[in-house]
Amino acid sequence: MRLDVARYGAVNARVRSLLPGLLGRSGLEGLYSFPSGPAMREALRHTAYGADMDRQAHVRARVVGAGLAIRRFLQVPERTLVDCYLRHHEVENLKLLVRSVSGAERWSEVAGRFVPLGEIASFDPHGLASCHELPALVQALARSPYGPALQGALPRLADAGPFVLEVAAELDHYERLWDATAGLRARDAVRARALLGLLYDVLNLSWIARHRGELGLSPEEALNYSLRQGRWVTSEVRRRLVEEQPVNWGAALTGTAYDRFVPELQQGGFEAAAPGLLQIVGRAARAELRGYPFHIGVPLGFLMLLDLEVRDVEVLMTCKQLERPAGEALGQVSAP
Amino acid sequence: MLTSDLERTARAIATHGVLHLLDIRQWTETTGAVRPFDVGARLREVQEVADQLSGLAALLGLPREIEPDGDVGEGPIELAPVRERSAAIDAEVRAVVRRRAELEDAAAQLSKLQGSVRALAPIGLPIERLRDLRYVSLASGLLPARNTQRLRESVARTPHLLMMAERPQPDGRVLVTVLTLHADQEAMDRALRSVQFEPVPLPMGVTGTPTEVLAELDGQLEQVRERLHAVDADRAAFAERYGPEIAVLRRLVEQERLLVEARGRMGASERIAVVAGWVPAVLAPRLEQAIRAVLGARCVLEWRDPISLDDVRRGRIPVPILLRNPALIRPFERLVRNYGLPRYNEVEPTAVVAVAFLTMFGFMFGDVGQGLVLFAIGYFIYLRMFRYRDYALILMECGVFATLFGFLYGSVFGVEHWLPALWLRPMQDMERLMRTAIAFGIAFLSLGFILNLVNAIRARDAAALWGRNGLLFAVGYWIAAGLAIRRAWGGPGAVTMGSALVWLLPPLVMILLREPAALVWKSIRGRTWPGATEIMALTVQSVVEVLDTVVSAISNTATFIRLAAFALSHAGLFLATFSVADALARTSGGTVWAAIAIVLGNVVIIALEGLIVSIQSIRLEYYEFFSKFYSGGGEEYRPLRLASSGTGRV
Repeated sequence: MRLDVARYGAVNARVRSLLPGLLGRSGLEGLYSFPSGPAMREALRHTAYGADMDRQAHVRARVVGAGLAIRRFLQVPERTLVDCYLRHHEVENLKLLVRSVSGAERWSEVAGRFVPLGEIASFDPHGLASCHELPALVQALARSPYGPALQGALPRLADAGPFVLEVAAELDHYERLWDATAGLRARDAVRARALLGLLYDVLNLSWIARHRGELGLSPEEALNYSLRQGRWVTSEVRRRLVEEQPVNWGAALTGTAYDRFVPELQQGGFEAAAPGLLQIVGRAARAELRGYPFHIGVPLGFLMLLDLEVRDVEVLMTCKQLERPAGEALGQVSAP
Repeated sequence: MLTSDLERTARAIATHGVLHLLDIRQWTETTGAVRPFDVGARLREVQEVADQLSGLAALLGLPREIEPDGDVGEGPIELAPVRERSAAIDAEVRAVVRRRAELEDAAAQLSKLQGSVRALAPIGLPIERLRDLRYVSLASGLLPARNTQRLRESVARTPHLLMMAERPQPDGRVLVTVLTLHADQEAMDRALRSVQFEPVPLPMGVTGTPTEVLAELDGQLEQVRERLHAVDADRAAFAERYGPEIAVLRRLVEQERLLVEARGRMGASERIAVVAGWVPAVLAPRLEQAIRAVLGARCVLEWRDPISLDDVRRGRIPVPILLRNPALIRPFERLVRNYGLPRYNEVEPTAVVAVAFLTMFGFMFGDVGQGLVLFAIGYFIYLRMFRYRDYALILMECGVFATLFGFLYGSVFGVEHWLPALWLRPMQDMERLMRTAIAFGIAFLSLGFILNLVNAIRARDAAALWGRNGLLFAVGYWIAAGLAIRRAWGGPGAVTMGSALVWLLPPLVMILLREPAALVWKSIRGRTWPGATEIMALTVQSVVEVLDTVVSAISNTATFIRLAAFALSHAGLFLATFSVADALARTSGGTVWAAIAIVLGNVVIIALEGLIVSIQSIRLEYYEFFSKFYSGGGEEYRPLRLASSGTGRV
């Protein structure tokens, strides 16, 4: 019999030691008070982001760095889940790779945008960036976890473009992440799914808004390019969302946890409601760090919180570059 | 040593298996003097032969793993004869294997055809008629199994008939057939395209209803399988004939691969080779003996204290760690490993962790009867479940400490009148119990501070010595603890608020001034003057640090009161059990029910309380103790080792 504490004791201690490094709302506000983008980067150097800033790495490297630091305190299957979760940054790398190969960009132009995955990397972006065509890239990735999904999408490359590869990799990744929860003990699986379910809901809302609204895909395609799993955004909700053009958020989301965001969604689209929706995810992730500490919610919740914070930092950096006023910029962040 | 001696020496080192190799490229002291060996070509060559042999083993259905035991070769193996021998066996086996592959391919084709015909079975029409449908469109093809549900959802509002093969293909896809009206064909196409549907043409060359075709295909498949069985028998004969030889070759090639990889970490100039690595001091004579046996006086052996190496001091080279603890302490290495191995020169805390864990466990779970039960369970696991021996030992040791504390509390299964209490009874002397818990906490935290000082001195790390949990913090904590103890004692000359402030002020002021003083010192040395903002920021930071220090010192100590709280809850659970038993004893057949209640109560207490106090003990170790001095992150000692006459592993 393995006890919870043996399974999660060390990782819990490690997460607690990393928690003070989170900036929080006040930290983000302080960050935005710096007068320019470079000054913000310099200020970040004096936070837990310091090491990544020194390496000129992407801010997202902070999540992966923290993830790698805590994963070694986990064992299979918990480590598998955490690895799988962290790999959404690798999927972002993959999407970037697809775009750079498709756009024939040089490695030196894109290198800084890749996030190193360290020991959990499934492929080496530098090596693959030399592929001249997308089919060659897919072939080179055949033995990676993304191989089957990319191979399956390849026949549609000619008529639908690189988009199909990106969406295939993304859907496949999140399916595998959900499957990874099945390996956990029952109560951990429930906890992980509750947390991931909220994230999947937000992803689904964002994707449906983009696929139906911006890209004008058919209802069938929009449905097929969404995640089947989630917490409140069920199959029926997704169906109602894709049925009308433009998306009728009110009809679909009434009765779910997200119905209070309907006015924002109707008026400003998904982007207007994104901070509020992500706050729900953040609150759930933070709740995992309270109370009984020996469960999967601790490492997973922490990594999700860190991901949300990194998103906030990226948003603030962009706003600073665009010289947006503080009120507007801070309205975009998800930290409560 | 001479470069020409390297091969034999490396082999001797690997056979003795005590040297953890250091990659010469990491060691800047040797930069320029020697170059790392370029083993790329040789490694590729060895790997190629290893792959060839693995492929041959796979062809013959031999085990994938390489047998670990066996003799180590004396010199580098000649790869050409191995390759030739492998090719010769391969040539002999290949015809059978090719025949097998053809039959497997034929079986797969027939199965695939069966699948596609089976998917059409619900329609019931002859297959030739499906090729010319007038009002409906038919699409048959493969799609990833996980996308089937997605397809169902996306076409739920489109009239259609979806048929699916029962079993997925080996590549994880399933064969589906969809019938839809011509009018809805476009929507169906969109849905199919977006679930990675790959169309498969209707089976050609077959006629008749699906049932008829399936019966014919079953017959053909049966014939193919019979032929496969015959070929498998031939293959088994080959495996029996060549299996042992292939196993030996694979082992030798694997040894060679390990040695070539190891050579890649060594360095050489034109004539001189350098091998560097780590060995536990006690094993150094054994290693020297092994090397001298090969080289005699034709080498220079230099033993260096790790801390004398600049690369180690600068943290460029980690020194591997070998944990060596007595058998009774060793199971607790798991707790330490979970947190991270100690770095070199960092105190190895397993023994302290073990003693503290057991003491805290016993304190909270003190009962002679339950302690003996725990010991018995541990002993049973120790005898019957080899894999869990570490846990069994921990359980037995917890049992011993629970029993010892049981004698101190005078408690046997919660009964307190069978034995005298050698120390106190928790429910009757709560105050003394709580004072003891706090005193234990102070001692335990103090040990953490001391170990931090030892680590700092060993690593010659001034920042750690004066930083958080360093000397100033430790002295401040001890003064505060001394004042608190004196005040708790009471009596004449007791501590007042004023005298406490007089004692505590100096360390607090020193902590407060630590950072600004460091900044001033740095400025004087650099002949620059820090900006006012910087001084202000540091001062504010120092004030916050002092406040944080005071609060965390209090909370870190107060948290140990949980030791007393759980000891009381343990006794409280016994009280509850006996109350239930008393109530049941007054009913008919009450004696039996009361006995059952007491037994069940004890089982629940052992399971529940045992779990909780373990968690609490680990929590106190990880949060309160480790955080004072321990960083972890050390590298494990993994010597280069080849199998030798049944010991070690390849």
